Amino acid sequence: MNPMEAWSAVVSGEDAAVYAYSVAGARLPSSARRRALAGLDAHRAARSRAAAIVTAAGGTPPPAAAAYQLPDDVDSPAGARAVMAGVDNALVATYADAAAATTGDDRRYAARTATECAVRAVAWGAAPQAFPVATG
Amino acid sequence: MSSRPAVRGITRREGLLAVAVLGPAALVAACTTSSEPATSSADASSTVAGTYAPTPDDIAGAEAALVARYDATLAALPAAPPGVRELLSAIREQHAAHLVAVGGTPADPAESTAGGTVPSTTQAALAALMSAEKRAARDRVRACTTAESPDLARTLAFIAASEASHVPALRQVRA
Repeated sequence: MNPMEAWSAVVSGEDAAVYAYSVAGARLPSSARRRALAGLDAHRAARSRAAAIVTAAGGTPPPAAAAYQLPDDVDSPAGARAVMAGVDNALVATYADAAAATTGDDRRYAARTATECAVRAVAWGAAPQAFPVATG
Repeated sequence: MSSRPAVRGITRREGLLAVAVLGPAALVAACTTSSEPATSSADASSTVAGTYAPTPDDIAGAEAALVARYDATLAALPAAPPGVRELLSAIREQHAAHLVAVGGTPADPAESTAGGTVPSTTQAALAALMSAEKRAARDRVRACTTAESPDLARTLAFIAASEASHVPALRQVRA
């Protein structure tokens, strides 16, 4: 995977995360909702940074989908938590690919952001994994 | 939570789904193929002084130390709540998987005596493990940044993420 492909995948993954956090976060009671809003901000900022990396490499960031299909149980607090844990865990692999495809500061940033995604996933209730992936 | 993509894009966004639907086995397989030959020590030692550029052997050693530390903690706290012991055992296995992923060989449990001193209360022991995991995650991010091969960089990004995620898991059972 070349750097542009890897970071374009990050842009797409972050778009999905922004959507999921926007929808799922609204289903949570207040203290958890504040945490979801912080995660939403983090994913928006990460989307912008990944898009900037793609642009700097001479590419065009992929557009966001109009909507994303979320599981039916996103309406329950437990379902909402699982959706956010799922997008965060899915992003760990996306950032690991970006780390592999780049070097230097971009690679350090990719690895650090992979850790932040995995931390959020477990904070939302996912079990920790040796090699984090989305499980549902 | 059964196997199911995290979030499905309704329009043509199949790219992101490739990640979401990858099974754990596929990823672990991808990671374990990335182990570096253990002969790169000489090369790594020739890097600029002060640069943190551990070899896969160094990282395997650090993972073995973490495995030993969890073994020592489990041995020192036989009366810890079952939920705590289950989590510690699960995390111990994850460090053992990290060890293998960077090319290390799991030690004979009989030989692992280097777990260090374990605090006498469960609370203090969990806090000590949280500190160790934070340090490990930070070290793996740095090692990822200087890794020679892309595959090793990918593996180390996964390991860093796993270790960072142990911190909230430990915090949850401590509460």
